[in-house]
Amino acid sequence: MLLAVEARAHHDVPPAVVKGPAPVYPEGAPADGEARRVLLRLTIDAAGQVQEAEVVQSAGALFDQAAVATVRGWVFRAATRDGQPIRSRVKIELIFEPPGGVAAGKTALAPPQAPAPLMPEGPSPHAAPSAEAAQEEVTIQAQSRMSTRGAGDVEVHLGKLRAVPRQDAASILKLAPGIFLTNAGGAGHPYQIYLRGFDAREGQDLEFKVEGVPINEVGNIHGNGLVDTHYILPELVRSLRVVEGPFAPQQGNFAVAGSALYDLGLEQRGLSASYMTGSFGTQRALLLWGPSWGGPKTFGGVEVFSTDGFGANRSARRMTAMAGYEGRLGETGRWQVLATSYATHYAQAGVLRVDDLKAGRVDFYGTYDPQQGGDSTRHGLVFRMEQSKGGFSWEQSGALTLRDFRIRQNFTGYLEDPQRPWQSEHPQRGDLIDQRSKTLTLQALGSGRKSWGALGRKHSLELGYSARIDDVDSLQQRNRAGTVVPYRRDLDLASVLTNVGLHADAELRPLPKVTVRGGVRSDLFHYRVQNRCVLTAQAGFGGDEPDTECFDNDRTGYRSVDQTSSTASDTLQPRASLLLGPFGGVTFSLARGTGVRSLDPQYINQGLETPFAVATATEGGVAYTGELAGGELSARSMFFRTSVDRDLFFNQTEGRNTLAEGTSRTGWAGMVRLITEHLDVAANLTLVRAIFEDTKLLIPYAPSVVGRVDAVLAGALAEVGGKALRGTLGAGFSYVGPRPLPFDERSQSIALVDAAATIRWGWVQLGVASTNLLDRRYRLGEFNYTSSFRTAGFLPTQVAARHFNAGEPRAIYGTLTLSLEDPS
Amino acid sequence: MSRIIPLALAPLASVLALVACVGSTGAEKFEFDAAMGGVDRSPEVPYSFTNEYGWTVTLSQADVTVGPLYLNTVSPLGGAASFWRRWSPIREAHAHQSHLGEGRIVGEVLGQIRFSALSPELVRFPVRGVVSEEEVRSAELWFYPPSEVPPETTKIGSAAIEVAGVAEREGEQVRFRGKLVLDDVWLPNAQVGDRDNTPITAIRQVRGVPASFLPSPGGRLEIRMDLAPLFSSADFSNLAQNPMSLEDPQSRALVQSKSGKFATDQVMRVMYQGLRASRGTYTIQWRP
Repeated sequence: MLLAVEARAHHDVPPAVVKGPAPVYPEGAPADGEARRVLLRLTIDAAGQVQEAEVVQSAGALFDQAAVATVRGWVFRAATRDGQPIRSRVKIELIFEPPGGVAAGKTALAPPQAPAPLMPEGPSPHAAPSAEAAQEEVTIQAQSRMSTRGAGDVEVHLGKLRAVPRQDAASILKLAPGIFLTNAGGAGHPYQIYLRGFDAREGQDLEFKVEGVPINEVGNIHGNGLVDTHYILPELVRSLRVVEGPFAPQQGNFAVAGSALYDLGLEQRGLSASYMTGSFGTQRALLLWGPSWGGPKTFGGVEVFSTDGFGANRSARRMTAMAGYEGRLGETGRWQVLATSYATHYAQAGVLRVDDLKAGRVDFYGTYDPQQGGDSTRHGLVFRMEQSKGGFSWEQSGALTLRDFRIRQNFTGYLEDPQRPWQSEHPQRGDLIDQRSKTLTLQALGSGRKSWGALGRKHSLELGYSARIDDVDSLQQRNRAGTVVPYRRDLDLASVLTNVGLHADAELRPLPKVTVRGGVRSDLFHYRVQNRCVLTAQAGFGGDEPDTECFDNDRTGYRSVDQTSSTASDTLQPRASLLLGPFGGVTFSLARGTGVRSLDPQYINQGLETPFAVATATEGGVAYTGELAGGELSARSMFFRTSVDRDLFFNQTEGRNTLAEGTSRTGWAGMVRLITEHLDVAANLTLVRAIFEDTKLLIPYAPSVVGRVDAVLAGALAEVGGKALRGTLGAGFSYVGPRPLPFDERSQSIALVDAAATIRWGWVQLGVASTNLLDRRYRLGEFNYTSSFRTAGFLPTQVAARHFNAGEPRAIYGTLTLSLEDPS
Repeated sequence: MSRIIPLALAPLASVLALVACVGSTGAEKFEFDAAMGGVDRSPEVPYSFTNEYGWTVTLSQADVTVGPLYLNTVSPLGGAASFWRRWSPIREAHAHQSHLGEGRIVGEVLGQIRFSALSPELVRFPVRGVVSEEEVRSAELWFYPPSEVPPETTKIGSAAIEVAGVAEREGEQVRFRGKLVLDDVWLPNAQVGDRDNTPITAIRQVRGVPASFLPSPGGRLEIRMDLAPLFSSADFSNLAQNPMSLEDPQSRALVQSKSGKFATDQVMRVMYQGLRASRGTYTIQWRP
């Protein structure tokens, strides 16, 4: 269990802001629309208090005084050496935005004003002879990021909540309200995401961006817009922003239910190695490196993971590598490169019938078809540049992704293999669906924002673009039961999918404490789809050899087996939000916007204008930020309604999403978070009613009640050998209410507790974590549809029956982490 | 903080009420009993009828083995794609080789019974059926081999119907006895690729039996079988060359065979057609 790594130097952790009000534009200062910057050097004592504040770069007396006054009220988490708090020195750049609006981009749940250390400066932090005398200089830029779009725009900084067990990057999503994740497909299978009454499947309704670059997979045969976040190391997620609706013009394709924006980075400097082992033969080795000469965006991480799984056919193997580098671009800019590589091979248990379980014909953690599983590889390169100068800032990104995806699933057993006239006599050969997609994606994104002053307040306008091309090769076959031998081709597509989007996003402050943000987005989608097997069925069979898969004749004679269709469509999506406040920490917001999801290539017809799935969302909410018990309290409450004109639903027969009627979701979501020196608690609850617009019937499978509580207690326990012994205790509680199922049934509810504890002394940390601590036997997913697995004889059932995926039983994992100094 | 609590709780309370309202995904599913028997008649009177050829047939045995049963949303002559077929997230149950080309199965009785079609007494299936509360337009009766035998098996020993009786016409009397087995004898002489090539499973299915009812909880399904269509165009004079029945040396055996000394006789062929007729043989009723 121990990784043999020798510690060769101290482990230093730079200071971070715990509490820090935003800088306030000084009264009497000129409001010419230009931001003012003051660079300060702070000396922070071992208690995290600001001892000294020295102006290094002045913006004028008024601004200098305001800057010093601002930081005097800040509280830091003291820098530490080998876990011991030490005195340190940091540079802080405060940017004063002209008055007139709420604190731009500072969401209620974000920790105060971008505490991230960006660039070490001055002498090596490791040169100091003793901890007491150690002084470290890092520059902290207190500039806000993208503007909030209202109460449903949630930025989640993990902070201490990192101590709550989270197996992967997707699990962090649960900190945002209304998100429920299931993974019925095994450890390597992408998560199925439910958000505000949307069954977003593996991402079809939720735009995902990592470092600003979309990662939804256009044209993936398992689901158009599929997202596989397994390639992201959760330890490298600094923050997550979830916009629960299409409210910002920057949100692109698949932002129907909203967007999830991952910000990567590694705060901790030095080398750390950890090894985890535990239940079900699970092992995970992780190496993280953050060189002392780099900022959080400069890092490296490698993971090797394997598990036998908690039941039959659930083993998984994966390896992940991520590396980032950030450099300066002039005085006010930076460039960044991110490289990722990921591969996994996993088995999948699939669904079980409840009647088989009750009759003892199958074990709760069993499987029908051991050939279910998948493979997934992803290799990517992202390059970003950004710069801010005067009243203008710009950014530009480019990305290249190579993706290979395969999944084999059997939902229906022996049901979907009809005897066709052109086929040799055969029994039901099994319904194992074998899907493959191979994709090359090129993307470019960029924007520029100009700020100006008017009416004594600052305004700005951003113009931006996004462009991507996806070259996708997709194949779906059916395999004989228990084998990987295909007997039928369902789909064989070669697609080139192009999307160009333009957006304009304005920020106007017509009145004090009134901010209007929004604009318009226009997307053009172009499709060129070559169907390499057009006729998979023949009504008037004749002329082809028996057992032909793709026919080369039709009623008018010979034809080629393939056919190409191409079309293009464009769409205009207005989005706007109105923010009023803050009034004593309370900000009211109203947002409305339209988002689209591009069409699955399999539905493309020559020349026919492509129908989009269009979602229109409206949200009204209130957010509060204040103090409680010496800590920061934030809370928000929001009502929402989203309508989708053409929704997608998973079809077990097809093994992929298929189009359905218009739907709507109406509900309420709320969340609260309290951060103190030793405690970090976050809770959220979402209630939603999701219905079909025409029949007013409930949408199956979308949970109407989702709740989550995360809590972490952290602090120094004792002093041992002159070093602090620090510990954390974290727990997470998830609740998902009964989900509506077809035929007016309800699923069981889910209530789970996860817990973890760590203890750290010097550069050694020991941790123990348990998921499903109470060992509840639960059904993670429940479905009503028809299947025939022939477990009770050969009389074929044709009526929908209850199926389920087993949830993971209690698992316990132990982790040893060695945090080592950067040898350089 | 005092401002936050009411801000959070007021909407919470109202939306909780909204969510708590009972919603429905439609088409409640429930169990029901199903039973099958002969036509409703006095059991005291011999089961007798006169067919198109003037034969008066009096049956002394008509044991039928049937199952499973299915209820479909599509009427026998229908075929239009339903709303569900196009949009339902729930899979359609039409794709099996033995299903209707269109439609959706909404109910089933996944069991088998053996009953005497001479008796009006209804025999209940050993397992309860399952149906969703949706309009039923047709029924399917499958004469499958026992549950443990794959339905694609061509050679089986179980009979769909066993009959015995006497046919009389103008002083001529023919005693007969026979078993109708739905095996490869009934497969058409077609090659792979021929449009009239029919799989063995389809041979064992009677689909599109007219029905029209909305099942409701507490109700039961009754199916009655009329034997007259099984002999409506049977000419018993054709049995003269048939061998004598082993079970009853006084009776002619009804023959089904593709090869050998005896070919399938006309009476057996008519009985096969009558058993598989979607109209006339079976009456489907839902008893609330």
